[in-house]
Amino acid sequence: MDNVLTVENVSYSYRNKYQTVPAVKKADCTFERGKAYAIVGKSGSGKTTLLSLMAGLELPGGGQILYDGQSTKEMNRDAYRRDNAAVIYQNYNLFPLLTVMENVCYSMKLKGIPNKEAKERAEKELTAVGITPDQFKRFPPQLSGGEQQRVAIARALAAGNELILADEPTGNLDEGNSAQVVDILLRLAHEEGRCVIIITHDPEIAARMDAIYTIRDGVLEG
Amino acid sequence: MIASVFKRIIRRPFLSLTGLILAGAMCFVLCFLVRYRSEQEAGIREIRDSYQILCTVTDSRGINTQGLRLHRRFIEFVEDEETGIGSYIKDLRVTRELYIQGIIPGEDGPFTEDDLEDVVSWQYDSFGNVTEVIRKAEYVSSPYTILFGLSDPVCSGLTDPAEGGAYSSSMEDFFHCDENICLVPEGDYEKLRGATITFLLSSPYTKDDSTRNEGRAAFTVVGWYKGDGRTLLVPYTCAQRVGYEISSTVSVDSIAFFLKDNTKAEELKETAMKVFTVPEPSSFSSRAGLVVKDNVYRLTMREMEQNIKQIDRLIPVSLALSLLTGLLVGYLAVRGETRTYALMRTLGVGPMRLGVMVLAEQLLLPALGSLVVGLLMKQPEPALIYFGCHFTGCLLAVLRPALAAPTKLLRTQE
Ligand SMILES: Nc1ncnc2c1ncn2[C@@H]1O[C@H](COP(=O)(O)OP(=O)(O)O)[C@@H](O)[C@H]1O
Ligand SMILES: [Mg+2]
Repeated sequence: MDNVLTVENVSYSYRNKYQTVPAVKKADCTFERGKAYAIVGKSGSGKTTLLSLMAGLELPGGGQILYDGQSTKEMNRDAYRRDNAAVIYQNYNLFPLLTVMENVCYSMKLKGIPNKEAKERAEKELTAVGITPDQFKRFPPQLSGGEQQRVAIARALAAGNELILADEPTGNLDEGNSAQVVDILLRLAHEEGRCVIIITHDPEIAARMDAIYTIRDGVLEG
Repeated sequence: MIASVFKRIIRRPFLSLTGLILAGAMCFVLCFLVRYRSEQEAGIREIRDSYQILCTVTDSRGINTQGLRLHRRFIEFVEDEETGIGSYIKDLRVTRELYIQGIIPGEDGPFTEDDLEDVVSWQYDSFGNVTEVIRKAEYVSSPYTILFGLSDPVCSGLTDPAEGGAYSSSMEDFFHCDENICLVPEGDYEKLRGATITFLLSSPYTKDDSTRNEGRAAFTVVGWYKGDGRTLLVPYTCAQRVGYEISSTVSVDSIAFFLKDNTKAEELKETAMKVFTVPEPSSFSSRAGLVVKDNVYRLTMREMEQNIKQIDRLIPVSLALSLLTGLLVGYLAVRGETRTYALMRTLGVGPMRLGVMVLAEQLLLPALGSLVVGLLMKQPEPALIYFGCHFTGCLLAVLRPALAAPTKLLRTQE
C-alpha cells in the first residue's frame, strides 16, 4: 500500500460567538497514490469542510491528517498547498484581474517554474479541458461558469501537485465536458500515479472512481 | 510574481490613479501650507529687519517738521541712551538754523577793508542792486541770511539727491566735520572757493530766548550746493557749537531718525512720551510732537501674522485629515481585495510573501504620488507622513489575510 494521505479520527467544528457547529464529527480514511476517490454525501454533511482540512487550509479540531506520515499540524502548510496539494474549488476561485493564461500560470510561477515552461504546460492543460486559445487572454468574468470551472481545473492540473482535491469539479459542466474532465482526472491517477479525490453528487461519476467514501452527517468511515 | 503585481495595478486604473492622486493631493496641501507658512515667516522677518520706520519731531499739531526752534533738552533726550530714547534709534538727522546779520570785513581772507568795494560789487552782481545797508560800522550786509547746520545731506532738499539736490565738498565727510566750514550756492563758488568769511550771527528769536545775543564766527568755503539761495550750509555740530555761544536755550530746528529695532516701536513711543506728545491738529500746546510712521509697517505685519495664525489652525486640521485619509484609504484598499489575497494564500503564498506583495501592489502608486510631490515641493516630511499612514493602513488590513485561515475569508465574502 502506498498511502499518501491518512485521515485519522478527524473532527472539526465551526465556532463563532453564538454557536458551535460540528461540521465533521469523525472521519477515518486513507488515500493511496495512483488511485481516484469519490466522496459522496448529502448537502451540508461536511464534505467541503473535510476537503479543506485535507488541503491544509484549516487544522482539524481533533484527530490528525497525515501527508506522507507528517501531520498537517506540524508541516509548513503554505509549502504543502503550493507543492503537494492542489485544490479545485466549488466556486472556482480564479483571480478576476488576471487572464485565463495568467491564472493558470500563477501556481506554477509560485513554484518557480520558468515562464516559458509554465506557458507551455498551461496551454496543454487548458486545451485538454476544452478551452480554446482565443479564450486564453480573456478575464474570468468574461467566461461562463462551466468555462471558469475548467480553467480552475487546468490550474490545479498544471501545477503538477501529487494530491488533487476537487470540490464538485463537474457541477457546472455539461455531460460531454464532464466526461472529458473525469477522463483526465482518472488518467492523472492511473498513468501519472497521483492521488485524486473528488467530491461529487453524480452517482455515475462516483461509480467510475476506484473507491467511494460516503459521509453522513459529519461521519465518514473508510 | 512582480509582474502580476504590476498587472493588478494597471488593470484597476481608476483605483490605482485614485491612490496616486490622493497621495499627491494630500502631500501637496500639507507641503503648500507648510511652505506658505515659512514664506510668511520669512516675509515677516524681512520686513522687520529691513523696513525703515521714520520718526519725525513736529510741532504739537504735527504740521511743521522744520524750523521748530526746540530747546536743547529735546535733542539731549533723543540722544540719551540711559533715560532718553538714544538706544532705540539710528540715523539721527538734525538741523540747526542761525541768522546771518552781516559780514565782518578785514578779519581773514579776501574780505579786508580794501576788498569792500569788491564785496559790494559782488553783491551787486548777485542780487542786482547795491546793498548800501551797513547796519553797524564794523560789518557789511551779507548776501546770505541763514546759516543752516545739517547732520546729513538728506536733511535738506538742497543737498538731498532724492529731491534733486546736489553738493560738492572738498571735505570728505562734510556733514560730520566739526570744523567751521561751509557750502555756498553753486554760482558763488568760483568767487569764494577757499575763502574764509567772518559773519555776525544771531539766534532765531524765540519768546523764551530773552538773552538774545550776537556772536561772530568765521567759515571757510569748501564746496557748493545746487541752488542760488541765501543760505549757507554748515555741519550740524559746527552750527551747534557756534549757536551755543549765542543762545544756550534754543539748539535744534528739526529732528528725524529711524528705529534701530522695529519690534521696539511701542517701547520707544512709551519712553518718548516723557518728553514728546502725540501730535493733535487742534492742539495749542507748546510741546513738541513725535510722529512714528509705523502704520504701513504695523498693518503689513498684522496681516502676515494673521495669515500665519490661520495657517497654524489649518495645518493640524489638514494633517489630521491626511493622516486619517492615508490610514483609511490604505486600509480599505487592502480590505477590498481580501478575497484575492485569501486566494493567494490558498495557492500557497506564505504570510510574509503575501505581505510584501500586497504592500508592493498597494503602496507603489501612493509612494510615487507622495515622492513626486515631495520632490517638487522639496519637502520630504508631508510625503513621509502620508505614506507612513497609508502604509500603516495597508499593514493593518493585510494582517487578516496573512494570518487568518484562508477558507474563512473566502467563505465570509461569498
Ligand atoms: N463558516 C461556517 N460557520 C458555521 N457553520 C458552517 C460554516 N461553513 C459551513 N458550516 C456548516 O457546516 C456544515 C458542513 O458544511 P460543508 O462542509 O460546506 O457541507 P457540504 O460541502 O457537504 O455541503 C453545514 O451544516 C454548514 O452549515
Ligand atoms: Mg460543499
